[in-house]
Amino acid sequence: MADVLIVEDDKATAREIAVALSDQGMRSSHAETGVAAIEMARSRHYDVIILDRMLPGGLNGLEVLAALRGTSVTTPILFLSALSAVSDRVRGLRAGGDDYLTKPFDYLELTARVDALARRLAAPPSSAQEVERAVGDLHMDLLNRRVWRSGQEILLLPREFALLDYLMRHAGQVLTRAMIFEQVWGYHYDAHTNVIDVHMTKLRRKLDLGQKPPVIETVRGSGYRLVAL
Amino acid sequence: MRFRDLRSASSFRLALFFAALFGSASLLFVATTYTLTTSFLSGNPDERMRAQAVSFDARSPHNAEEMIDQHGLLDPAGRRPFGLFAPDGRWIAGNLRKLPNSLPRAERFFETKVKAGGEDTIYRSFLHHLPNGRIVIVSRNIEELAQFRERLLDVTILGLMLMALLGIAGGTIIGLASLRRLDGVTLAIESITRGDLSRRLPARGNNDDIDRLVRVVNSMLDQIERLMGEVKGVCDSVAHDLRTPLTRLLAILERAHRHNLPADKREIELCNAIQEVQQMLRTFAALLRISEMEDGVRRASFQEVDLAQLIADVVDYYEPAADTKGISLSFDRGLMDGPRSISADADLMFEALGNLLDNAVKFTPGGGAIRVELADGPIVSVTDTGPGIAAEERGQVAIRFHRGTRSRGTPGNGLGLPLVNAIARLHGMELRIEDHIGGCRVALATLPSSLSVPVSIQRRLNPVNAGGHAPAHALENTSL
Repeated sequence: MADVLIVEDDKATAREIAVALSDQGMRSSHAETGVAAIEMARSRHYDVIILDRMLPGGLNGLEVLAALRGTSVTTPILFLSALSAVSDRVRGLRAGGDDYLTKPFDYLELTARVDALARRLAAPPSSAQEVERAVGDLHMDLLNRRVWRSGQEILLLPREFALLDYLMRHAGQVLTRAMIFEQVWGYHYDAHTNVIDVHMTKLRRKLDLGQKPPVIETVRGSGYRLVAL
Repeated sequence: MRFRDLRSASSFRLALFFAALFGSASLLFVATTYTLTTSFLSGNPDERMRAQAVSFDARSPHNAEEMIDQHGLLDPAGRRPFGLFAPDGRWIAGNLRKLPNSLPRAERFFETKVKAGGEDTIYRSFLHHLPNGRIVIVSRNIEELAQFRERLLDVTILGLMLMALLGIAGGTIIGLASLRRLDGVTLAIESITRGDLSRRLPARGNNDDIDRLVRVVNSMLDQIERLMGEVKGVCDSVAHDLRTPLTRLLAILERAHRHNLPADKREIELCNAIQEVQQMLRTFAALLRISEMEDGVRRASFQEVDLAQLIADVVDYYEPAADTKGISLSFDRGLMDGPRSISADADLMFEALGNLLDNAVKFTPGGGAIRVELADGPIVSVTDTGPGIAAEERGQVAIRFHRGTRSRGTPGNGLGLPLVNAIARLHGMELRIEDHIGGCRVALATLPSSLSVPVSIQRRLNPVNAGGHAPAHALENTSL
């Protein structure tokens, strides 16, 4: 079970985050100030730290991050911020943050991202020579860029292949449209992510071969999940 | 009170200051002239008188008496009276017959006023003790010199008074004129401050310094008025556009509450409600992004971007959506095959082009075609076979929440093209909308660099980028 440290000065927001995390089976602790957060993060292990950019008292989010990284705390950090302007996101990521969400955010988006960060830490480091992937009856040859389902080859376009690759790497996880767009297309923006649905429909149609049970689940209100069959 | 204001009017003070300065200089000049002139006019004759007086030293007493008497005969009008007196003051010779009552100091010049024929006459004299103890006085009438000096003094005083008068009068006139001028400006500003934004500062039309200032302020007021109008329009639109989804949201929640729906139906309604809220949040996010873009600060994240690759990515992203509607979507790179490097924010560029393609896919009827082209400039254009935007509405695409008449009945918040427009401007590009055979063409055209963001802003945001090479650490150039 993943352990999450929530650093957020607004109690109501912190409570909602905690509830959303526990719904997804994650435990959480709460710190209201940067100083408390640093103490807690040093005293025990957390899988993910959710860090508000703006905190009361002496330390803001970026400074807390710097202090943690300075004492070799490598816990993945997800920034939460009401600042959407001035490339704050880029600045937060450059400072060593691992992900960035702008308030107001979707709670499913938040838990999906926290889950992804926690799993990244838990997963064994992927070797560069990885040449194939298998999830359930899906099989992927990364070298020749070919895909089979139950031994039957499926012809995919390059983008569809990249999409499936991402889904397979994170099999079982909820992946939001925004996450998929960021990871597969490599750009960052929130609007029009519903276009992802069209891509997903096409990929699904190919994977399900008309009669097989669907491998890609729609998670209502948030995104998709690849299930192992 | 006018005259009390006058004292604090800067032009009046300035006029007085110059009057005082000029007056002091004149006074100095006149004083010098006066001193030099009088000493010149009296200096030479003085020397002659002293020499005459001293010349008696060498003569015998008798000879001296004769000389003085002779001189008296030659000067019947008494213009240059001489006198020789015994040491006790008794007159001996000459046409000056009486010593002054109080004997002046010897070997000095002195002036005496003598009443003669009802008129004062002024004499300048030199008193000399001869070696034998006698006193000789050599005089001359200096009436003219005295008169000259008096006149000079009078004229000087008169001139200075006139100057002071003119200075004060001139200063008052100038001060009052500028006060009247500034009163007009002040009144106008006060009424603007009270909220009458259509009011302008009065200009005189003579192109003087104040006029130029007034014109600059007026054009600033034009800009402010336009912006205020826009802000008001946006506020109205925000209020209006939020009321619709809020009303829907309220309806959904009330219905779910009232009907005591079974769990599965309630679930659906809650999802609908969440979607409404998300839509509202997206509207706010778009608004915030537009204003962020208009600040121009986003330039900080500019990097070298391959525009051709970026367009290919956008086209690739929208291709399935177009395909589903039976629309053909194609990308024409033009004649150039390699990368087209520009300095841009890749995410924003993607968003702008994505918006254009989203619109094109949304409005082009099934079976139509969308063609994306990259031409020299660079110019990116999206040509579709949709209904386009009516010519008279094209000027309004940059206005937030404005939705064209042809977009009725399709989803959208009226923030798409304003966002594209803002992103284009941030990149020194222009959003162009044109008719095209059988459809409409929307283009992002790069403007000559002088027309884009002012150089000063560019420098502030991205100093290293002046040469067109965006360094990877461009972000460090801005700080919180």
